[in-house]
Formats: sequence, structure tokens, C-alpha cells
Amino acid sequence: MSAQPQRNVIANALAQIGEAGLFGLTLLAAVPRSMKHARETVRQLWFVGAMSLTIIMVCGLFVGMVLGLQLYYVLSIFGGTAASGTVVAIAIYRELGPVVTALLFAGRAGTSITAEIGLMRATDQLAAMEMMAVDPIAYVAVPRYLAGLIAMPLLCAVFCALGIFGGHLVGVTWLGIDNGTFWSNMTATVDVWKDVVNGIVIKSAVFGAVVSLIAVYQGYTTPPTSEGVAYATTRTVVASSIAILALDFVLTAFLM
Amino acid sequence: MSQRNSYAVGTGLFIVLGFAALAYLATQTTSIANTHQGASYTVQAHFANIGQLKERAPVKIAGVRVGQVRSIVLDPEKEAAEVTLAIDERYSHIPDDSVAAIFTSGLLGDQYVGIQYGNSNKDVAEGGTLARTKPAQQLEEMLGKFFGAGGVADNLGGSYTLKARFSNVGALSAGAPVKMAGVPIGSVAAVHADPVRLDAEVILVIDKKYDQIPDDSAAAVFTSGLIGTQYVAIQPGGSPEMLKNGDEMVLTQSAMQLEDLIGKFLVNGSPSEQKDAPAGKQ
Amino acid sequence: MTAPAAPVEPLVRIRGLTTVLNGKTIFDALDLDIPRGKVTAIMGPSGTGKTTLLKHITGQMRGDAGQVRVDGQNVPELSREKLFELREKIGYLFQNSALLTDYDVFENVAFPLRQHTKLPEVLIRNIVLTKLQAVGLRGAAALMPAELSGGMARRVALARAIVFDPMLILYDEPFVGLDPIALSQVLKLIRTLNETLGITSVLVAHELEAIKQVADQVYLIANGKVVAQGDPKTIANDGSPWTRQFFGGDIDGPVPFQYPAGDYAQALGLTGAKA
Repeated sequence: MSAQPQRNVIANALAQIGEAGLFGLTLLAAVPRSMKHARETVRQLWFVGAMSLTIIMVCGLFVGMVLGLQLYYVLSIFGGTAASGTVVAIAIYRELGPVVTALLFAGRAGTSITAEIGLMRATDQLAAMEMMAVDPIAYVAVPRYLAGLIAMPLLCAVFCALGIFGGHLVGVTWLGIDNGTFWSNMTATVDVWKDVVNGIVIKSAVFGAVVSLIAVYQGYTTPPTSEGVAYATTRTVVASSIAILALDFVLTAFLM
Repeated sequence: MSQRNSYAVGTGLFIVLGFAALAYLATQTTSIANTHQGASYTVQAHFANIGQLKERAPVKIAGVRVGQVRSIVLDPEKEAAEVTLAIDERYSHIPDDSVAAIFTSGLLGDQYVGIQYGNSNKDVAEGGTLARTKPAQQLEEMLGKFFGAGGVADNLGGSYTLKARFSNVGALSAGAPVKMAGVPIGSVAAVHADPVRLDAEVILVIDKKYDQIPDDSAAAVFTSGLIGTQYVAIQPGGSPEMLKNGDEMVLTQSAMQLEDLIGKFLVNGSPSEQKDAPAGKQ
Repeated sequence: MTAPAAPVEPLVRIRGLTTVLNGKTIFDALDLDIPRGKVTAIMGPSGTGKTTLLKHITGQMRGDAGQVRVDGQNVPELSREKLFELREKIGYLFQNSALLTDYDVFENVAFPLRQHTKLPEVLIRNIVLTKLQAVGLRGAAALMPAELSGGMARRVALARAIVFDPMLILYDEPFVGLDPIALSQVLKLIRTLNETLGITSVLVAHELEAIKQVADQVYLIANGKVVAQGDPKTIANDGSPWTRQFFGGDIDGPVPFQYPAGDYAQALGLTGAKA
């Protein structure tokens, strides 16, 4: 973006974070104006959220199944397979659910948001909206941002549900852990606030806000060329992944 | 426009699905699932020691979950923990001489209250108290039973005790194994200091099977490995007389302090050692 | 280079507009008038900022100095709300049509109506179909933008631009990439809109033959100034070096063939090596 090729990497990254943050404030300021485009938000929620359901569900199932298998192997060393329900649930609620959902979301929905907005800029659609006296921030950027923000916790909840189901499938149905033990150990240990609300609601809402912001920002500021859109899409995935994992550490430290 | 509506319907479905998943997870897989169960009746039990028992821990009869621990408070007068159990109304016919015990599920699992039915014809009343309880087993005791053959000796129904005096027992504690030729034959029942002779008196409980120990055998406090636990090793002597119940072993060797050991290795002899200790290679 | 005194206030009056972009002077105290109810063409060599000029008129860009008065209001000073109000009265035809790829043709034309009015569905339908009929594409209402040819897309964009019956339409290169049939269709539409509805039109284009058929007045812009203006049929013969080169298509002239660069021999190392 900058004309100076020698600018060092850290300064560049900081500048990007700063610009993205300012862009985020612009988005927040435009939220009241975009209220009249609520229909558009609903439509984006369909593309961003509902269309991501398949991948989220399939991945959630497999993550849960792998977890069930690995835990059975490790816990059987200590004769503690009864605890696998607890560990599956806690691992999924606290870390795997929000993080994997966010990474998948960045790959599935984030890239499509970036590419779509980037192409709209490249083909003058944003300028055309400006000319039709429609604010593209309020009509294009904010609905996608809000849709991402709303969709992430919902997708995460679905992911977690499928993950638990996968863990149950492997642990109980295939490997023969007692069904009652699996559930009663889980329900005895898992806490609504510390595990479910912190993980599914808070973590994934933060991830949703950050991933959507990065996706919309990258799309909105991409150079209007096909090369620019390609790079912006890549940057969305890279920046989102780093942001998710770094934020996960910070959030975990805070929410513990 | 119909296109628009189909988005709205699909999006609505998506939102409902998401919230349904969240609600299911929050209520069915967490501790909330345990708080809402049918009508229950409460029974109290006093335990001398509850170990790691926590509120909402399961209450089981014959391994089947029938309720949960509602509250745990300390009763200052009796110096015991008063545990209130909420039990499903379907299982309200509990004989009043039943035993409530605190068990651990597996080696690492959580603790729970198990109720073993008694024979009384009277049921314990709502709000009543189960008089007969067994406190939680401490992990240390259990480990002592596993590793220090004391439990084995008890189970075989016969043992005899010996005494031994040491000037220093190191970290030897009750429950530590007693070994002969490396094989556990009993355990340390007690270790206490003698206020008159200013040394340590150790009571050893030995399995009856091993009653052919010569009376000039030596007892030594050894450490398994460099940092392992300590145990009492018996080195048989050659006397025709055997040790009997209550006898004292005369020949003893005190525990080596780690510092002494290291000193021997490194300095090749400390002020308290004789010069003929194993020669170094200097 | 002052504009001729007009009997009525021109719809667009630009005075002393100066714009510098990335150190390059785009406009240097430009003066320009666009009379009401006429078709005005703006021509000039590539890169002289013709599209930029349109963006100044609509307030998408702001100059560093000078006034751009549209219908009496100075555009650079307008607040965002006032600017949006003004834009509702201006139609803009983008070079690449800029149809919203998410929506079909009908929804594209209906888009400004849905955004700015709460008209009942029946009325929206009537207005949209009328406009589509005007550009001859009522039958294509259900197609998606990706299914349209370049000429059709441009006509749809035109239908969208006129859906509010604007006072001013700005055409950015409306003739590029059209086959002769589509070109004639677009020309006829521009003329018809101007004559039947009295819409003031501004065209940015290179095609002199096409402009001769529709434009009432031509401005030739170069080096940030108006270098020639007048009737399209006579402007080519006004004798200035700019018009001679531009309309004659000469390779070299006031607009040099070479992009400004350092000494050629030195760049090849012929003189530099010896020095």
C-alpha cells in the first residue's frame, strides 16, 4: 500500500493494524445508517453463515471423532476413559470450537467477503452506489461485518454440538465407553459460564468481529485489479489466522 | 422478491439452528443438566472427612446415579462435614441403617457418595440423617495399600509385629514397605520418637508367612533409587533362633542422608567417614 | 479562455478548478460551463483527466482549489447528506456499466428506487419496466448481469441512471467497445433522452464521428486546461495545434509521443560511460 519499499515489516504490520482499526471505527459509526439496509444484512447472513454450515458441521464431526479416538488411547493408559466425555467437551468448548470455527470461517466466508468487495471495487460497483446516493460502507461493508459477527457464535455452537456428537460416536458407540458415564462425567464438570459462554459466545464473537473486520477491510482497500484482489484474499486468510491464534491466547489468559 | 424471501427463510433457519445448538449445549452438557431433575427428597450424612467431594457430585446406589450432593457445610460441634444429599423421589425407600460412603471413580476420577443398603425395615425420613458413614479414603492410604503390602498382609489374615530402633529414619513413614531380598513382606505400621532414648522406634508388621526370620537379622532404611521412597530392608542373619511377635531387632542401619551420599561420591570421604571408604580413582 | 456568457445560469459552472494528484497537475485553473438542456462532449488525449472531471462534478473527488457549481450549489462544500441529495438528481453511466452482479437486471434498475423511496411494489414494477422498455430490454428483466453483452449491460446501466428522471446524466466513455449496431442504439438513446426529457447530458468520449451526431458543444481538454471549444462540426478546423493533432491523429505534436524521460543516450550508457 505504501510507496516506500524499504519500510520495515513490523512498522508495516502496525500500520495495517492501525488502518484496520480506524476502518473498524468507520464501520461502527455507519451501523446506525445501515439499519435501513437490514434486509441486506439478512441476505449476507445467509451467504456468510448458512452457506458455511456444511463445512462447519463436517469439520466439527471429524474433530470430535479424532478427539474421542485420541483421548480413548491416552486415557486408557491411566484407566481413565470415563473422563473422555469431560475432556472432549472442555477441549471443544474452550479451544477447538471457537478456534477451528474461526479458522474455517476465515477460509470459507472471509475470503469470499474480501473477494466480493474487492471485485465490486474493481468493477466500479462501489462507485456506482456512491453515485446512486447509497453509502457503500452502510450498504456493503457493514451488513457483511454484522453478518460475520452474528454468524460466528452460531456456527461455533453448531460446530461444538457436532464435535460432542462425534466424540460420543467414537467413544461410546464404537469404543464402548459407558454412555451414562460419558454424559454424567461431562455434566458434572462442564460449567455453563466458564466453558460454554466463555468459549462459544465470548471467544467466537470476538473472533467473528476480528475476522469479519479483516475480511471487509482487505476487500475495501484492495487495489482494483485482479492481482490486487488475489493478494487481498490471501492476506485475509493469513492475517485472520494470526489474529485468531494470538487473540486466543490473550482471551484465554483473560477468561481463565 | 421470492428470491429475497427464500434468503430470509434460510437465514432464519440458520439462526434458529445456531441458537438451538447453543441452548442444547448449555443445558444438556453442563452442570445445569444436573440441577433440573424431578422432585427430590433430602437426606443428611455426617462424614469425618469428605476428601475431594464437591457440591453437585453424584449420589449412587449400586453404581446407579440416583441424585447429587446439594450442599456441604462444616458442623463445628461435631467437627464433621454435614453433607446434604438430594435423592430422586423414586428411590426414597432407603433403609435407615444404610451406609453412606465416599468413593472415588477410578484412580483419578471424581469422588461421589455411594449408599449401601442396610437391612432395617424403616426408611430414612425426608430430612433425616444417615447415621452410618464411611469417610473418604485418602489417596496416600490407598497408595500405601497398593504398594506397601500392608493390605496384603491384612487380607491374608495373619501378621506379627516387630520393633526396630534407628538413630535416623530419614523420610520413612507409616505404610512404607518392608522388604526382604527386595520382595515386600510387610509394612511399617508406625514410626515414633522415643523421648527417653532419643531415637526412632519403628513398628513393622510382617506377614505370618515369613515367620522364619533369624533373630540376628539386620533392619536398614533404604531408598529406592536416588529420589524414590524409603523402605525398610531386612537382611537375614545366621542365628537358629527366629524372631517372634513383639521382638525387637537389635542390628539396625539408619537412613543415609542424601547429603552424605553425595559427599561420599564427590569428596571421597567426609570428616565423619573413615579413610578406608571405597577408594577413588584420583 | 473564458466561457461565453450564457443567457441562463449554466447547470454546471466550473471556475478555477485546480487539482494535483500524486504530484501531477491534473487541472490547472480550469474554467468550464455546461449549459442546461444540451449535450456537451468533453474530449482530450488519454490521461488528461476527463473521467476525473466527472468525478469532480459528482463530488467523488474534490479539487485543491476552485469552484464546481452544480445547479447553484458548490459541490466541494456540500455536506455528505446534501451531496447525496444532489446525486439523486444526477445519473452516471460508468465506462464498465458497474451493474451490481448480485442482482438481476430488474433489481439493478429498481435498486435506486428501493433505496430511496418506499413506493409500493406495483409502482416500482411499472417504473422499472417503463425504463427498461425505453432502452429496449424489457424482455431481459430476469437476466443476470453476467449474461448480458457489453452493449446490453450499458443500456441497463442507462435505464438505472434515468430511473429517477435526473436533471443531468454523465456518460463516461459510453461508446467504448460497442459494435456499430450497439453504438447506433446508444447514440439514439442519448439523443432521445435529451430531446424528449430535456435531460442535460455530458459525454466523455474519443469518437469524433459519434460525437458529431449527438453533441451540441465540445470541449477539448489538454494539460489541465480547455484548449478548444465549440460546435463539433467546426471544432476540428479551428487551426490550433492541439485540435490539429488530436483530430488529425498525428503521432507527435503538443502531445509528445515520448513520455517525459531523461536523455536517451545517457540512459543507454553511451555518453555516461565516457564522462
